[in-house]
Amino acid sequence: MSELLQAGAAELARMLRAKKVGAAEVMQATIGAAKQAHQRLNCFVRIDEEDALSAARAAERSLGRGGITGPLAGVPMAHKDMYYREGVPSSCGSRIGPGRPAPATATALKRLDAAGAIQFGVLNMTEFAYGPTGHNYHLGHCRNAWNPDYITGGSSSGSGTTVAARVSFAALGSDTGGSIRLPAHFCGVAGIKPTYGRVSRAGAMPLSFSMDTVGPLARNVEDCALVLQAIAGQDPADATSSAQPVPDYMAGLSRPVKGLRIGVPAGYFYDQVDPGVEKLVRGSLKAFTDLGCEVVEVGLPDIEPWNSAGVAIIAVEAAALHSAWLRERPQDYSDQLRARLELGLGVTGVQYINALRLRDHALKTWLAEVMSKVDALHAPVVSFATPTIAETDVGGGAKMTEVLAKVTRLMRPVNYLGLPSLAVPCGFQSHGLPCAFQLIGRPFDEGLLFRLGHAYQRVTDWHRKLPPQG
Amino acid sequence: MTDIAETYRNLVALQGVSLDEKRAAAAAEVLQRQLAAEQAATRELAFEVEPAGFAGTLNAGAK
Repeated sequence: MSELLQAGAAELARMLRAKKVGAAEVMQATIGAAKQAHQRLNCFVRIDEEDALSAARAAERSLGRGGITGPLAGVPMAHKDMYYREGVPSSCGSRIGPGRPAPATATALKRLDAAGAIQFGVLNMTEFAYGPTGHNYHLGHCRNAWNPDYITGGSSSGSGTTVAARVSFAALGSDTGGSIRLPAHFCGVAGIKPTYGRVSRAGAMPLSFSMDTVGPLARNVEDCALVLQAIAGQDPADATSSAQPVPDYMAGLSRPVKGLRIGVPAGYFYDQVDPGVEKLVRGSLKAFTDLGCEVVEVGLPDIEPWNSAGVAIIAVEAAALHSAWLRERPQDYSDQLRARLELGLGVTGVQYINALRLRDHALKTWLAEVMSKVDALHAPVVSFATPTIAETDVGGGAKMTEVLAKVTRLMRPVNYLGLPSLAVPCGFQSHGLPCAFQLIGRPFDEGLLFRLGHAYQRVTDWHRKLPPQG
Repeated sequence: MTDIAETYRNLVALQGVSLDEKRAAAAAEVLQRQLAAEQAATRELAFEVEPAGFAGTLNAGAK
């Protein structure tokens, strides 16, 4: 692997600004690595070689004249193939796709463009972002950079594995029920699911408008902060985007964490956890203690019903969005996605509205009973050892609901509550696959999560480990 | 197929989507479980609670 590709996005941006390396050289190396990685991992839908090289040469000229000052100037990125770019069709991981060239560019992409990042391709993903394992029955299953027999997690499967493989310096994912944090965990990278409304959803393929969030996966927490800084903030094109001010995440990274209270959940998150995963996740708490954080056990309210309510909301909203295609083109869906969408057709209006009504009560309860006692909650991302692609290839069969519910069990409550959550790698399981913990924060407190995650990465080196080259 | 599965199948058919018996039966079981969990959780909700309160609580929850 070229040494150029081992840097993080923030580090590379600094090298480019200092002219220690040229943008075109970096892009050339990136595209070479992307082609190689795709052979092994099936991670790209498209690589835009000519456009990306042309943009990189232009960036290099501009950097040379001091004309580009964006924080991501010249940094190559590929994104989940559900962020629209005007005039270009997105597959959304499906056979159907939205069916036409995109009418406008996604706000998140516009903001990354403005920050100087250069998009060089689009990435494999779960069909219509509705699935947590990384299987894709149309484009082929995306494969884990640490071992191609194992799942990447989904739905931002390509985002997770290309960042892990040191191909993309960061990648946009989306998180409706774990789709950023799961690939971050399974692929050993960092990923931030922002607060609902923190990042504009305009121009991003919708799955569930009440739950969808847009965020990055990156090689380390600092890079997540840098990318979120570029894309966060209110957007007139998305009525649900929040007016909450966006703090300077990068400046906040170096603030001390001593005295911050980290909660360890007494129930739910550890109810069914695999001993190997539990050891790694609980083991990561020592670093926080050493950093001067106060680690305290905290009791949780009854979360299980929130999980069911979240499932109902996503099911109904997804079924509504897909209802015409379900009637007219059912054969163009994978069996699994069709079965999941059909479930949404059976949820009653009363059940859907009550699931939404319960949400406010749930959040108030959570803030009062949990977040009043701690600054962040530290928990596993998943409760089981990483399975193979074959073991979780359940299609739309009888085992589907059980398997998928198990994968998303520790994710969905966070989406239902709309809270931010940062996944951070914390070691390797006995079969060599990575493991992460998640830090769940107060609404719009992504900055504190970055501060904690960055402090952890200053005293550990899990994020520097490289997967084997195929 | 149970009555509930048949009802679900008819409801889906009303929306223009056809399901075989096996698929309808599996889905009806899942839906029944979810509905029971949610009914239990929402039983104590105040009569006046509206979905719109969530966004306000989220914003107010920021430090």
